[in-house]
Amino acid sequence: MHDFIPIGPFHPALWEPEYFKLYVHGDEIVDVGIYLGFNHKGIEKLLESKNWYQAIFTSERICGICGIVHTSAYCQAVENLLELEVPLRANYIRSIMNECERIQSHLLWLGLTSHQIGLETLFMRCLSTRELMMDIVEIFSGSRVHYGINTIGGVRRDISKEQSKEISESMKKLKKECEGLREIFLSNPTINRRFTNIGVLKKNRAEELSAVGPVARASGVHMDVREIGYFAYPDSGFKMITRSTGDCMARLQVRLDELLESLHMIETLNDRIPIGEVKVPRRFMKIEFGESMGRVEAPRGEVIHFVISKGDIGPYRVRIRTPSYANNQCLRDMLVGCTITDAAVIIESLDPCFSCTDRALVVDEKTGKGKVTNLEELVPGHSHMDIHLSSHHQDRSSHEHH
Amino acid sequence: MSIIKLGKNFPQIFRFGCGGGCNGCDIEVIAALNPKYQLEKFWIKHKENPRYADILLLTGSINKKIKNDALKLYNQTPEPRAMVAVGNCACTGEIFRDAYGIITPPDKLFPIDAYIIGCPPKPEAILQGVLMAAGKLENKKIEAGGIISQLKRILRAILDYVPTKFPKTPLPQAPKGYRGRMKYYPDKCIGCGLCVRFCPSRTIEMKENKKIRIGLTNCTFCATCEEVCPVHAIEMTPDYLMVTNDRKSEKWFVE
Repeated sequence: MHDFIPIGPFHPALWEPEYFKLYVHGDEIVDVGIYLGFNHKGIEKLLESKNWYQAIFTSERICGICGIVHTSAYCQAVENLLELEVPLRANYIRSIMNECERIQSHLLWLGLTSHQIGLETLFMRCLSTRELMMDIVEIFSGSRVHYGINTIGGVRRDISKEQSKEISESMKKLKKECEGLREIFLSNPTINRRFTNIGVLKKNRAEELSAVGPVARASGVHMDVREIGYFAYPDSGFKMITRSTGDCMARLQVRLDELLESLHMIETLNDRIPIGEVKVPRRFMKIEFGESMGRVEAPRGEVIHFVISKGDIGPYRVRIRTPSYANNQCLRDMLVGCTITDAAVIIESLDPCFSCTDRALVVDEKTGKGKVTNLEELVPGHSHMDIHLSSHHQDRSSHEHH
Repeated sequence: MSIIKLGKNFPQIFRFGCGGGCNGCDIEVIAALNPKYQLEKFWIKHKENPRYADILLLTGSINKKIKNDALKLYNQTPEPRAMVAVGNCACTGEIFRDAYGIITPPDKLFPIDAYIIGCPPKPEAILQGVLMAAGKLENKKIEAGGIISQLKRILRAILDYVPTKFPKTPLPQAPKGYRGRMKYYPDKCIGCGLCVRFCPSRTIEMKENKKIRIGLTNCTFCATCEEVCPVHAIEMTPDYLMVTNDRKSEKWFVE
């Protein structure tokens, strides 16, 4: 047994409470234990007690940084269930808002990463650049974090002509700022030395561990839901950005390029937005039997909402798969072999968002201690049924036993 | 509140995200540190170690797993300390208060000195809440010092008195269409109960006289009530500044 260094649950390197055990041999990390569940809110159960419309705003509160992504995925799933055609203008507005969110999320990540390696001035610069984005979003949606823009069958607010002008003006400003940031990030020798060849995730491992989003793309895996073309993305001139090295630098480069790509996409969508309705003028109370899926590319990767209806006024079951949960599995591959000093940078390079991660966990209420279980323990004799779920649990239990 | 009123103690804050929320408030606390809002202009510094902190910012309510760690962290901060609940989740649990894993309200576990209502509150409101807690912290410090400390305080106030007035900058207005505190017109209301059925956090109650009562401390400010109301009896206003030390006051119910 090696010595271990605990990171968390409350730790300056972590954005939210989460617990990592770094097993070390001298300065080198030998193994990693990932303990999740500190952010468990029981949101899937909560969604079952809401009606179809209440569930939109409940699903928005899965995560504060990528709220609109969850409502988009949920609404997409419900619309698929209803076989409802969303007005074209609504799809454009949804795409624009999704990209706005990606920009502010990536800018926040850039800021936090520079904070992690001690570049405080760059942190402040990233945050003040982000305020430009937040101002547009606030004017348009009425809130800085939870936009509340999606509803079943369209969007709740329309973009006026003045707002459209404002968007294109501030996009130009943002583009200038972001290009400046990109130059700083790529030319800074400190960043270069601390990021290259650190936390390497190889392509085959990324595929095996089902990594998603910028983490997978930095390892050379070609996957982005936007390429399949939901909402108005086929019309946005989307180009996938990939790198092949799979280290922290590659993840940084992917996010920096995505930032500029998103800005470009918003400009194109804003120019091409058609005139028309933004919402289906009907309210759906009961939805017939069926099940459907919604897939959306969040700033961190793919978000899936799987909705089952039993003809009631609310969802019978909603299963949510969030990107950070999939990416957390890769942490062990990245950290083993690195030094403790690099641990904070590597954890941050995943852009972990734990508040959307924590789904299932067994907690003993009397002692407050959590334990990691496998599916067989939960449902005796049903281990062969749900291969997907059990594979996740095996990963986690294997972390524990090392 | 001016710098003088805070005295010569420069409080330090620690952000203390406790799981039972969406982390939106964490982001807004970080946004309050940025050059646009600048918490540091009030000489309040953000620290990443609870042992140096005077003011704790609680974001999100507390779930069963983190309860013990949260209490441990709270006891690590030196006395006297002040606690701010940022956002509705930290005030009451908001939309998550019915969930099985959440301990609500959080003020059952720790004494909370200032509540910032909003989902999430704007950074300007967070600044106000932190300043309110800083004032309370100052009072606590004087109380802990006894009579001598109080006399010292009076003396210092006389000696340090600066007869110039700081220009009072008005609070920036939220843009038109911001979803803040709502207005309710009881004369228009027909008592159909649609808002009660559609409110995602179930904070709207139907009273006996067929009029409604909205609890703002549980509100998600999603404007669903405004949207579903057939007679436009509910209207969202851009009033976002909701900072208080008493969350149960009648002021935080719209009737």
